[in-house]
Amino acid sequence: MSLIQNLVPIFTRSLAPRNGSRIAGNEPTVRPLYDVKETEEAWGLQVFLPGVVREGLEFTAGEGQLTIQGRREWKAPAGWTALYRESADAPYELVLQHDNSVEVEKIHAELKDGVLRVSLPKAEAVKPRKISVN
Amino acid sequence: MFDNHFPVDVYEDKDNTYVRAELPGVNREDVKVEMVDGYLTINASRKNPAGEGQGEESFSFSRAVSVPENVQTDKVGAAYENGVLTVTLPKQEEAKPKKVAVTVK
Repeated sequence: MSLIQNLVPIFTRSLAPRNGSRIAGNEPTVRPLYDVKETEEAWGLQVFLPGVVREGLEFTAGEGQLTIQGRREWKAPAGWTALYRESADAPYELVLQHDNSVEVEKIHAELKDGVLRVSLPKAEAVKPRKISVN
Repeated sequence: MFDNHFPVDVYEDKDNTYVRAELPGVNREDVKVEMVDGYLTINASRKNPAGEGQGEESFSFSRAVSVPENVQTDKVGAAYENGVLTVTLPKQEEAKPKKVAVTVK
């Protein structure tokens, strides 16, 4: 692997849920919209999870990846008939690879109004470092 | 990111029509819901707070959904919870199925 690839980790996406995830492998899930911004110190991740509350959210970090799973809390009351649907009832799932460039213990996350905002501090080895020249 | 478009579901029961819109992270004060000519228009905006090294970003969303004619427009209500806006449109009395008892002589 080239040196450039080692210094600049890429957030890639994996397709299938891993074994042991709370959502079983054969339940369909939906990938939520999200964006990632980068600063010198950390990555900022924003995941759009409308209808999800803290009790329905599971966020795990380990083995070089972040897994976010969210179940929508609301179910249509019994008397309601759906006339037109665009949203899905399937739970949200997002898996991001970060190949250990994140300080997992310092991750800070907040869920408000259906938006999960996560601060992912960079591991020391990945932060830009000034090199002094003699 | 949504391209100004957000998912919308329409439901009904015997008393109301309901429109649910997925609008995570928008500002409650900026949500405007209007009824015009049989269309329900929803406008909302989201501001991303200024982070390190970047200014505030603003996104706006707008969508018109056609709703059945029989709405009591002055009784329309809306609530925003967990990123979902639910608009409740009460049906006019004539549209509700009415049971008429007929006596048979």
